[in-house]
Amino acid sequence: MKPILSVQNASFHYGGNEVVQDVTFDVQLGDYIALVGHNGSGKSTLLKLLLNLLTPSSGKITLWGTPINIFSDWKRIGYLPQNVQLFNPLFPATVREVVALGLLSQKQFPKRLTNVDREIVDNALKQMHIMSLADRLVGELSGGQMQRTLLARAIVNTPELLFLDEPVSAIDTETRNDFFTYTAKLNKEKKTTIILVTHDIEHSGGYANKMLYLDKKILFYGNFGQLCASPHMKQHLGEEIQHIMCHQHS
Amino acid sequence: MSIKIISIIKCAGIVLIIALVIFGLKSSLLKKDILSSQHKIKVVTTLYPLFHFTKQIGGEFIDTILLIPPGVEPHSFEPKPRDMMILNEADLFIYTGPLMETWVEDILKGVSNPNLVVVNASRQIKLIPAVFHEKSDGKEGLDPHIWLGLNNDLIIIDEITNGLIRKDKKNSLVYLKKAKEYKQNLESLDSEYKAGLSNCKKRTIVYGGHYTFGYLAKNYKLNYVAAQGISSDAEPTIADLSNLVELVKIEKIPYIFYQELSSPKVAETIAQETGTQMLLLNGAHTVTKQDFERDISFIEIMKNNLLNLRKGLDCN
Amino acid sequence: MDIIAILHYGFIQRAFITGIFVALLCSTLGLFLILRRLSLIGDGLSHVSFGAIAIGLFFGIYPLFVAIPLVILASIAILQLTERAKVYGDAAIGILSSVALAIGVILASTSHGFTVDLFSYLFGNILAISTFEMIISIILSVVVLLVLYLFYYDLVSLSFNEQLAQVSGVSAKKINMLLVVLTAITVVLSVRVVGIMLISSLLILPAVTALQVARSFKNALILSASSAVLALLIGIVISFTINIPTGATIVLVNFFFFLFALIRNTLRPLIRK
Repeated sequence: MKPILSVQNASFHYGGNEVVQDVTFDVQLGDYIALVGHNGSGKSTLLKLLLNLLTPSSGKITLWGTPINIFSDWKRIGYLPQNVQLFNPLFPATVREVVALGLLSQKQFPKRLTNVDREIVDNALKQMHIMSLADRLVGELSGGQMQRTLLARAIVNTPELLFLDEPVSAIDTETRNDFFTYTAKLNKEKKTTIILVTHDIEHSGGYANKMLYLDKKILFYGNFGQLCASPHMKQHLGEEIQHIMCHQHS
Repeated sequence: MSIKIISIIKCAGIVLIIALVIFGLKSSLLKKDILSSQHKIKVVTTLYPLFHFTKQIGGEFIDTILLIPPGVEPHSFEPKPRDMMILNEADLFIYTGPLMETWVEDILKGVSNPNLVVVNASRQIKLIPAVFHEKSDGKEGLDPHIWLGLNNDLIIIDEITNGLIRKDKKNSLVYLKKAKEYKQNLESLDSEYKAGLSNCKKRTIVYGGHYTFGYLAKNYKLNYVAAQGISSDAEPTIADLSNLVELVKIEKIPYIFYQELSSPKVAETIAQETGTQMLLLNGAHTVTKQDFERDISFIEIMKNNLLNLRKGLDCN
Repeated sequence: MDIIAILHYGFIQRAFITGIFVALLCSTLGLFLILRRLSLIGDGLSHVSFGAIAIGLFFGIYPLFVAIPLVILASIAILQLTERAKVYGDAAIGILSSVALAIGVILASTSHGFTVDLFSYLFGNILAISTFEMIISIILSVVVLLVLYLFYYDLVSLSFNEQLAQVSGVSAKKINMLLVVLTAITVVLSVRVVGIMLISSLLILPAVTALQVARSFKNALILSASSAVLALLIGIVISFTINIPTGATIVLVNFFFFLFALIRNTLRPLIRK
């Protein structure tokens, strides 16, 4: 089966440092990958490379066979950025308006939103249980509410490939649980391929089917069966953590 | 834009700025060269009329410098360090008066030149108040544009001559002779004005610039209405403009006068509103670059003004 | 003379009409600029105009032919500084503004002098607008507002979060450049018509007023435009009634609207309780 996303020998330098080193991996349709690593391991940078927000210093990245620098089919992609990168709290947009922006990737110039689009947006709001917040300003939302809003925006165009950057690091338990339930559903029922970046290694086994462990280089990439059987990873993670992850996964 | 192109633009920008600075310095050095020639006294003047008078009186016996460059509005002029340097090396400094060149006191504080004689051209002149709004309560302020009263110019000539004599007794006879000649020219110009403006159908000058011609209007018994006050920063209000428009309509005034060098927008507005045409009334605050280079005379400027006044006021 | 009577004057009519279009234009453009921390760009680009006009006069070229391309280049340079040199928008504006002003001052002070008074050509006056200027302003407003309408969602998306916008297929480069170039053209043409004080304040005040009380982005745009137009109308009337300069009055009315909105915004959470 042809991979959805293919990365070959991608590297990225920044100011004399090699932040991402010679990374090679493929992502298949229906994968749910936990992209893990400690802070500074290069995982956010790698994510940006995969989204064409940064250009690799060397190597090749393709999406559905198309080189990423000429890829333009962005409606097939959904992206939930890290909460910290956000925006001006005075930004005068409502939840509805922000979620609607997610449909832009489907539009050509001149971009306009139709009534059909408004219904799609409402559906996304309902799925995220934020319909009651539809007309609230995004600056007035709590962390969890903002997360739901951004997730709604990420999935409103029913993407085939969904990128999530540290989506649950700073939010309440209820939102977190809802989040994992929802993404699991997306992955299983709609075959949405998901790449989730997190520094929380321990709990990744609870939702992902594969793990990409990054520390500038790829230390491990494979499914959890392989992870649990790997003595190299046992040594690296520590026996306890490996045990937790594998226990969760099974 | 690639990084290379940005570097090139940055370099070009820096080169451009350096070139301009060198150019500016070069021009100022040229000024300095003039000042360093021996034998002649160095006279610095502020406004063009003073510059011109001084040159007429002093001739080739002195070096005359115009401090405010041509084209620069004297009301908004700000002296620079180079100007201080020029004053430090000068023998004589002539300015119109503290109301006109408000920055003179400050700049003189910074000048350390015990040799410098300072001439306030308005010293002996009685300033008249500017009559700006019709219902003026006299608090409008005094009019600093003294050089537009030809009677004042006679006094100014004397002040300049005394200053020159103080610094250069050797040539005092020459200065006195030239001053006398020039004063005669001014007096005959005054007679031309008196004759030319004695029999006019209209006696009101409507001026779409800032208040300048108070002295001239008084001397020849004309009414003078300006759109803006003395300061060139002042803006006319709606009432100012509509009053002028009504005045033009009621008195059937055929021409609006506009100011030298500044944008004539206000005069154009009044002219468009009243269907009238425009004529230049040159207040000689400053002159254009071209006029400066051909040494335009103050008398020529005033003669042109007289022509325009006679046309605009419908005189015979 | 009362307010109805002065409406018969052509210059008053042109003041109202031009003022309304320029207010609509600047208040809309200004909202997008404020959100990208480029609020002082009106002020900054007008200083660049000054330097550009000085350069034009110095080399004997019709100033507007020099001013428009140079100001556009300056606006792009401001953009590049914010993107590549990681300089914040307001600092980038300050850099270009002071350089341009310095160049203008140097050129204006050379002993050669000029044929015109530089400053007076830079500062328009809302009461002295010619018919030609009015038409240019109307065309400019319509064109720029149309462009903003066509690129509305791109601009909103980009203002919200640049990376999210990129991943939605919005070209940050192109849209940013579009925004600053539109601003450059607006500033160069409008400064000569209504003056820098008015343009600078119209690009800032209505937008910040709207941000205090807006309930959605569309709402913010409408409020910004409305408050600008209303302030213009009220400003002209008040300046006539108490006989003070019109341009400055309009600015102050805009400011009072902002104060009013600010107070409402501050009191709102207290009222809820």
